[in-house]
Amino acid sequence: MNKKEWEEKYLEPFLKKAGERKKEFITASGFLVDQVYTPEDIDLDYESSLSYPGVYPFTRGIYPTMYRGRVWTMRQYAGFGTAEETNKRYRYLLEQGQTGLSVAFDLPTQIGYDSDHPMAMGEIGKVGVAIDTIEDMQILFDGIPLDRVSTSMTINSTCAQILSMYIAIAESQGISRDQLRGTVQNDMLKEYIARGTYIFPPEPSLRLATDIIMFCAKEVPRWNSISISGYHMEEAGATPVQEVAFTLADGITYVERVIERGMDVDAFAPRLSFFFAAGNNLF
Amino acid sequence: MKDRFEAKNPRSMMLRFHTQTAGCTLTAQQPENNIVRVTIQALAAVLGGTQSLHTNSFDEALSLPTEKAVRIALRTQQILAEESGVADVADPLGGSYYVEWLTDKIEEEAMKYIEKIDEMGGMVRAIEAGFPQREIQRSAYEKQKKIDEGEMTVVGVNKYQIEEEIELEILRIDENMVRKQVERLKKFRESRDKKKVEEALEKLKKAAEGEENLVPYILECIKARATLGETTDVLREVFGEYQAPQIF
Repeated sequence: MNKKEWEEKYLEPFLKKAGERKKEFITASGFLVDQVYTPEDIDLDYESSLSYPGVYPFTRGIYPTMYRGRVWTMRQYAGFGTAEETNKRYRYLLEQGQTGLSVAFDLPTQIGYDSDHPMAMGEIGKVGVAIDTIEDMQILFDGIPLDRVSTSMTINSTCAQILSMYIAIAESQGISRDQLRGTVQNDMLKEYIARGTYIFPPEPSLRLATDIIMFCAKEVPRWNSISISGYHMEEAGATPVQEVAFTLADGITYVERVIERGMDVDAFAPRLSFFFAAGNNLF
Repeated sequence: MKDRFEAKNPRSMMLRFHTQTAGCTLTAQQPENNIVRVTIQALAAVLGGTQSLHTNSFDEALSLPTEKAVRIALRTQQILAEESGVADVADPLGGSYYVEWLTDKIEEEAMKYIEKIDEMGGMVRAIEAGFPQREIQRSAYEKQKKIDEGEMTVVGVNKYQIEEEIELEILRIDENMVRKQVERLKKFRESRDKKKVEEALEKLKKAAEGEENLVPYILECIKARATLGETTDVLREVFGEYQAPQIF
């Protein structure tokens, strides 16, 4: 029996007796969903479409053992008030078994205003921690071994300043920059598309973003120099298709720009990372 | 990466990703239900093979998360990792007819967008023309319409509502913190070598006007104890500020 025969012989008579809950079933991307999927619905060559974990095209995962070797990094995004309060929250999360840190900065920090600037009024410490100086950064990571945790920082327009502070406090603790592990978001394009914390026009923003990618490739080799993000597009209302498409198109732009500036693709591409949203529809 | 940019290192072809559960799905009504939503979303992320995961706290539609809410969010991940069995095998859903059909379909539709953006001259041009912004806006509108008309269920919001008084321990930011932050900044400014700061900022300005990599210059400013705002101001002066185009 094939799918068409099943539909004629079993499905249609059944539908005549008992209808379905809805006229049509639609995914978050607007695809109409059939009652069932079968081998006939997919054009699948196992080796080229899926292959094995740890093997190109990595559809089944990027490592041969996936979570059997080590589970994903549990990384709770946190930050509020001043560096002292946030530092306490980080220590609490690490005590509770969290395995990576993720820093939320307040809006003034994200758009480059110090806490005493009129533009910062009413926003200090609200959606994240306020960081003005290298001293604030020192307090934020006080007592946290920077050579042993990985730290993700949601920072874009002022990414170079924040990354510099992180490198500087690590070096003052005797930890060299090539030992540091973590991620900076550094994805300026999605700021214009969906998130909104841009400062400069797109061209200088792209220059800064590629400066950071190139700097990290040479000097901070274990650091993810960008997290190309679809999450904020999804939060702004994008469908999964739009989230995937626009995020990859942003990624293509960064890769093109760095190559244009003379760096070999394999010298920086292994350190590109991505960031997506998981919504209510499991699929 | 392999076809378009001729990468040779397999690591260049891996898509490593972080996932966060979708904040926009959290509801202020019956907030405890968010724990269940987050669990489903976290499961999706893990089934997708994520490298790292943030699980939202159930009270986030109302305020910054409290310690208890954050702990539950973290425990959700620990239960998935250590109790559910989902971490015991690579890609448990691989080969599911439905999942593979969906994957192909999303790939196909996403490629259409990418080709369209290529035709427009790349993402920067597309953004300037307001293309992705408009597409997202349209989807957001359609989704909200479906929720408003009850075509799409949001449990506790447009279906299964209850009379409730939301009793939650809410974390608030203390105004004293702001004062403390501003005072610390003032002391910091007074205690540094002003000349060193000015020199570093001047060097950054020159570099920004040219084409050199700016990160080493910014690092020098920070080490000379320039503030985040001062360093950004130099770049504002050279690069200008962006005004978003009128899209709608």
